[in-house]
Parts: sequence; structure tokens; C-alpha cells
Amino acid sequence: MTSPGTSTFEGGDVLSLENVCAAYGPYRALFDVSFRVPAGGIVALVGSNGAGKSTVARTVTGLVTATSGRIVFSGHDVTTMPAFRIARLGMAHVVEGRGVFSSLTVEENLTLAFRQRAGRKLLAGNLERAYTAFPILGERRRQMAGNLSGGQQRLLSLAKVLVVPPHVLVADELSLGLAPVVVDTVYEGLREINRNGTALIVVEQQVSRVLQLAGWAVVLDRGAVAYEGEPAGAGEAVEAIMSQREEAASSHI
Amino acid sequence: MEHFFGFAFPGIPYGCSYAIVAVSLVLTYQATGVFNFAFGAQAFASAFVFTLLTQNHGWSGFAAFLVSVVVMGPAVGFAFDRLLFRHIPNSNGTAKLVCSLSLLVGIPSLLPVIFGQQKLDATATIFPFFNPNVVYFTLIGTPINGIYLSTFSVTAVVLVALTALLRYTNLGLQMRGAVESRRLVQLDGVNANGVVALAWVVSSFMAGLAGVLLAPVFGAFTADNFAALTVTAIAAAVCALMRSLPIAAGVAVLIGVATTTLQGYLSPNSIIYSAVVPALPFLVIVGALLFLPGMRALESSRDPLATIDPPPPPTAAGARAPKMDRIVRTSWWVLLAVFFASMLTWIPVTWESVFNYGMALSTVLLSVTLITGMAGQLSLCQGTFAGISAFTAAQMANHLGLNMLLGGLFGAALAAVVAVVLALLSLRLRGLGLALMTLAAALLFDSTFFSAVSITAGVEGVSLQSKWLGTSAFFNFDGHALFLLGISVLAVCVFVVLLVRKGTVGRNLAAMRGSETAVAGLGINLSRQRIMVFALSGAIAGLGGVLVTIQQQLASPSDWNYQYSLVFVVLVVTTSVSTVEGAIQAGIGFAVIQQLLTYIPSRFGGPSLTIVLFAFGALTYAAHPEGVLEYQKRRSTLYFEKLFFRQNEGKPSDVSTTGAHG
Repeated sequence: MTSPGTSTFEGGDVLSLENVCAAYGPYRALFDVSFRVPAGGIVALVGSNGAGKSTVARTVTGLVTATSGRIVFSGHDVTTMPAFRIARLGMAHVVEGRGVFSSLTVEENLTLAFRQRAGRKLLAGNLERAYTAFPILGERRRQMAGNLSGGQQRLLSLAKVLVVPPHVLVADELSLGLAPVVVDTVYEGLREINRNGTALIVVEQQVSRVLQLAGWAVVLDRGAVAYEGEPAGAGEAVEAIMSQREEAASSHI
Repeated sequence: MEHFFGFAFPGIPYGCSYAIVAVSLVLTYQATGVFNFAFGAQAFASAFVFTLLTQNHGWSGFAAFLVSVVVMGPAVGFAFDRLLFRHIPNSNGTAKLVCSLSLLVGIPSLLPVIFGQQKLDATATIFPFFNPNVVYFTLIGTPINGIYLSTFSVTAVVLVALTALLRYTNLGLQMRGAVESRRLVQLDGVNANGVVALAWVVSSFMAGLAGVLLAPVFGAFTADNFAALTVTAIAAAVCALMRSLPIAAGVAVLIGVATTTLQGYLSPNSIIYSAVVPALPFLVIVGALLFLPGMRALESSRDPLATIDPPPPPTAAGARAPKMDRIVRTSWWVLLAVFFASMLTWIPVTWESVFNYGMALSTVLLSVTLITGMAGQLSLCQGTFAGISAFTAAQMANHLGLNMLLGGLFGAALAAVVAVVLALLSLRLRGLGLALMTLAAALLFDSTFFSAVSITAGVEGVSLQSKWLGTSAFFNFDGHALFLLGISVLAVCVFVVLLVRKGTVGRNLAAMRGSETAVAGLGINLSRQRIMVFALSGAIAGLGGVLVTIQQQLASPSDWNYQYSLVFVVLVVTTSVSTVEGAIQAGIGFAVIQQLLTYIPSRFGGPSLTIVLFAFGALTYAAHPEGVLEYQKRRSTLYFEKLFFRQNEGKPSDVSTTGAHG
């Protein structure tokens, strides 16, 4: 592994959100979301369908621009920064679902990421490492990424970030649709790069697994933070939201 | 055999010209995701400026080249990206097509507006590398002059350079990534907007270069020549599935060679010579669309992050509060009554005929609303449908003595039949594929039936005679007969379109715009819906065509060529493609603006200015895909609602606080 960016913010926060609001066109999706990610820490972002988890992930990495509030990453105010600049500061985002260029080959997908993140000289070595870590990608390096299975595509997007570790990795619904064995590998990979200093924001709908991994948990409900604190309390918070919903639903009938 | 090469070789310079454009089209598509119909127009603009500077202003060839190609080409491309294409979401294929089409229509009309009518002679353009008048050597009996050498060498250089750029450079990789998803590529740290802007700069530079280099090959200096160049290049690019540069170049050269070879062997009087040779590129397009399955999947968006784009806003009519809706509806009826009374009483004859023309045009445009607004498919041959019907009616009157109004019904029926045939041929095509297919159909009719003297009586067209209509009332503009005919046909067509929209077919079509797979899953026969809507739209266009013909008292092929088909789409899109009012506003607006422009000096371009206005109006489609009038209507509706019904402010209207995405 190349040297990960650990030391710069030892003890401090590598990422912080203050009262962040966001919207898709006229539709508001986030309301005053605030939380912090300590350097080298793991934050779990959980909540039900449509709670705004993915929107938080997208706002952090610049895909969706916050309408108000402030996002600070590695000491830079990135609130209105375009996504590619945030990425160059050391942010990586594994998007929900398919996150590869389907009309490029597997190798071209990796090349695109590695050339930008680690430079041309390290390209060959990085490709080699990716193929060692994920042999299936090596076998299919000349295939269009669109022809890979869903799980293989997820491995490809993971390989892009695991080989050249960023300061912060935002992983959106990594386990969705993956076989349990593969999920184990994926989580082992996450632990591995975290040990090397990468801070993680892990977005998950399956609560139990991510809460084992994380050191801090944020529960979202309808675009706002419903709970923030130790992972142990998050499970209860999610349960509470769910039972509220059920009550509301049954009282309508 | 020497005979063969004598015919084949002269095709090579043409083929190479097609190849340069074809390769650039593929590059533009690969690097920007836009199928740039306007490429030929851009080339024309650069060649125009180059020739203008060298001939009329005495500039040296080098200085003129710098300005027209090195500066102007990239500047135009940069402007295209900044002002237009950057604002279109990746997933909106129709918007990209409409913008490039309106540029294709707008740019050639804009040049005389800026520079005035100029008489330019393209042969004076210089070739920078080889002298076109010198025979360098003879190959199998054919003298090879500078034109051969320059076109061939430029094509080879362009092919190699662009292939290298796309396949083997990091920039090319980033461009291809950005086309698929600008957002995803940013996550890899790539400045997507910068990369795409650069792609446009390169592509537009290529257009300028192609224009200046190719003008002398074609001799005459007309926008039509460049349009023909683009069409042939499109044929080659489509054969290469918009992917492979070498195949595009190869097919382009083949088409050039095949054309001159056919011309050499066939007698100039034969039908094949006059019909097949000009139609060759369209036959190639049709063939490629029918037999290459890769073209069908071309326009489907693959952006995994497309859901970040907000959903389109509701139409003004849909967003109105019920009270407001009543007021608006009532005022429409009042306006209609006032218009009706005015037309019958005080409106002067000139303006009455302007409105009559506007209504006739509106009927044609309604067919665009039907097919593009409701079915969500771009058809570029609505003018052809109208023309088919107009000429059928005129010829039936001429030869059979049938009343023109009755013949018009036959004409509309025939147009519907042609539309059905076209729909059957393009059942599996969507988006770009269908647009190309219909464009090819329009061009095919232009170069065959519409240019046959026995059908259209040549360029002058068929003049109407009063006995054909059974009455001279339509020739007497004071008599209002034409107005009554026009408004009733329009009313019937509007009624039918509204009926279709509200009925099962309309709902199925609306659902199909959302997801064809889901609709098919419900057990709805997609093909039947499409064929029905094509047939209806062909019939309505046909009725409109006959109306326009009666109003103009002339059925002329130049009124129904492919350019007008493009203009029709652009007109409707500018106002509002999703509503019936949009078509009427576009039709009457076009007629009125055209009339108003006759009052200003022709120095400013005259009729072409109308097209410029609408073409550049259509560019607002990038920002407001619902149409600029529709956008203004929604805004003013919201404004008035706020003004009149303050008590309703709490209701969720345009700005809602619900619906957080995932």
C-alpha cells in the first residue's frame, strides 16, 4: 500500500458538517444536518429508505451542492467546491448501486482512477495490486465494465478506492445485493484501509453489521439527524423510528 | 478495368471529405455525448468567414485561416458547451438532439443576418498543402492532382490523430468517462466540465478545418452542400455505430467512390441515376439502422447518478390552483371569441391571411405535439407527411378532377399510410435512431418524389385552380371561407389530440416515456401504440399540409423539404412541446413574426431572421425542456396565484418540502 494520508489531522476532525441543508431542484432533502468524522475514524450513517443517507453522502463529496450550512474537509471549506476538487483533496465515494463506466473496459476504469489519484508512474504497480487483490478483475480486464455482474461491478468500484487509499472514503450501501461471503471480504477491505489511516463514512440500511464496525453512529430520519452518538444506542434509535412509523401507518387505517 | 478506376478515383476526394466529417462526428459523439447535427453548419460558417475575408477583404490565406479556423472554430465550440450543452442533463437525449438540430437550422440563417447577403466563390479558397491545379502523377490512367493529395493526406492525419487522442491518451479516456457520467468521473478527480469543454473545442476546430479544406472540393458554396456533406458523413458514422473512427472513414470513402462509379456507369437519363444516386446516403442510413442492432441501444443513458437531476416540473395547467384554472380557461374562451369576431369583421385582409397561414401551420405543428410531446419521440419528417398529402390532393384534382378538399382527405390518408410504414420500419428505434430514420425518410422523399416533375411540377410547384376547390371563395380573401375552413379543421384536430391524450393511448404513451419496460410488463403492446400515434400524426400533418397549400394557393416542394421538417420541430419545442396550446402559439407566432419582419429592412435577413429567432429560441430548451413559453406561463401562474389567492399560500405547489431522495 502507498502511504495513506493519516497524520495531518491527528486527533482532530477530518470532516465536519454544520447545519447542512440540501435539495434536488425544488425538493428539499436535508434539514440542518451536523456531524463530525474524526481523523481515522469510522462513522456509520444509518436510517430507513428515503431518510437522506445517500444525499448526505453526495453532499459531502460534492455531487449535490449544499444550499446552506458548511462542510469542512481536511481544513478546507468544501461547501460549494466542485466534486472533482474535493476528490483531489483526498475524498473518495463509492456510489450506491452501479458505480463504474460501463462503456469503458475494466482496465480503463481502473486507469482513469489511478492516473488521477496516484499519477502515471505508479499506474502499472497499482493495476497489478488491484488484480492481485481482486483476481476476477484481472481475468476480465479487457471486458467492458457494463458486461460484469452486479457484484463484480461493485468490486471494481471498490478496487478503485482500496488500492490508492484516500483520506476519507464514503461507502454508500456497499453490501446491497452482494452475497454474504463477498460482504465479509468487503468489510475486511474496509477495516484494512481504516487501519492504514483512512476515515470512513459507511452508509448502510442493514444496521447490525455496520454498527459493529463503526466507532460513531448517525441516524437519519426524513432528512434530519435523529440520533448521534455511540453505535450501541443507534440500534434503539432506529427501532424507535420504525415503531413510530408503524404506529402512524396503523392509525391511518 | 481502367474504365472502372477512371470512375472510381474521382470519388476519392469526395469520400475523403465525407471521411473527415464522419470521423469528427464520431469524435464529437464519443467525447461529448452529443450527436452534432450542426457539424456541417459549423464547417459552413468557418468556410464562409474564410472566403469572406480572403475575397472581399483581401486578407492573406494564412491570416484568414487563423481567424476562421484557429480562433473562430474553438470559440464556437466553447460557446456551445458553456451556453448550451453543459446545462443539459446527460439523461436527456431529446434535448441534446433538439439543440444540435436548432443550431443546424439556425447557423446558416444567421450568417446572412450578420454579414448581409454575400456572393462568394468557393473555388478561390486556397489549399494549403498541394496546388489543386497541378497534376502530380498519374495512377492507372487517372491524373492525380493536388485535390487528391490534400484531401487524402489530411484525412489520414486526422484519422490517426483523433484515434490516438480517443484511444491512447488519458484525456481521451477522461472524455469517454465524462460522456457516460459527468458526476462519476468527477469522483475520480477529473474536471468533467473542463474535459467536455475541451472536447467541444477540439470538435469545433475540426469543423472549421473541414469547412475551409472542403469548400473547393464541392465548387459551389452553399449551405445545402454542407448539409449534404453532413448527411453522407452521418451515414458513415452510423455504419461505424458512432464508435469506430477507422470504419467511419472507410465507409465514407466507399460512399464517395460508389457515387462517382454509379454516376459513371449509369446513363444520366435513367431513373436509377436520378433517384438512387442522390438517395445513396439515406439508403445507407436506413440500412444501418435496420440491420445493425448496436444503433438501437445507442441513446439509452447509462449515467448511474442520473437520479441526482431533479424531476421535470409539472405543466402550468397541471400546477394551477382550481380557481386560477377557471379564470385562465375562461379567458382563453373569451380570447377565442374576440379573435373569431375580429377575423370576421375588422381585421385587414393582409393580417387575416397571416392568421390563416398561422392556423394552417398550427395544424401541421399539432402533429409534432402528438409525436414528440406525447410519445416522446423525435420525428424529423412531419413536413414530408404534409407534403405527401398536399401533392396527392393537388394531383388528384389535376388528373381526376377531384375536389381538393376531398382529395385532401385522401392525401391525409396516404400520409398516414406512409407514416405507418415508417413506424413499422422503425419499431425498435428510439431517440437518436428514430430521429435519423425519419430524417433519412425526409431526405429520401426530397430527392425522389418531391423532385419528380410529374408529381411536384418542379421547383415552382403546382398552382391551385379555383375549379379544383369547387368554389372561388377560397381565393377571395375577403370572404372568410378560408378562415372558417382553417379554424374548423384546427378545432377538430385539437379535439382529436386532446381526446387521444386523455384516453388510454395517451396514458400508455405517457407511461412509455417513463419506462418502456414497465409498460411492456403491464401487457401493453408498445408497437401498436407507436403505430397508432404515427398514423394519427401523419394524418394531421397531412391535413395541415393541404390547408397551407390552399392558403398559399400553391403546392411547392420547397415548402415541405427536410429543412422545414426540422424547423417545425424547432418551432414547437421553442414554445411548448407538451401542450396543445404550444403548437398553436408556435404556428401563429411564426406567421405573425414573419409578417412583422417584412416591415424591417431586408438588410437584416428578412425571412431567415424568423428562423434565426425560433432556432435560437429553441436553444432555451437546454435550460427549460418544457419550452420557454411554458416556463414563463408557469412562472406567471405562480405569480398571479400569489397575488390573488394569498390564502392558498400554505398549499404545496412548486416548492415542496417532501420527497427526499434516497
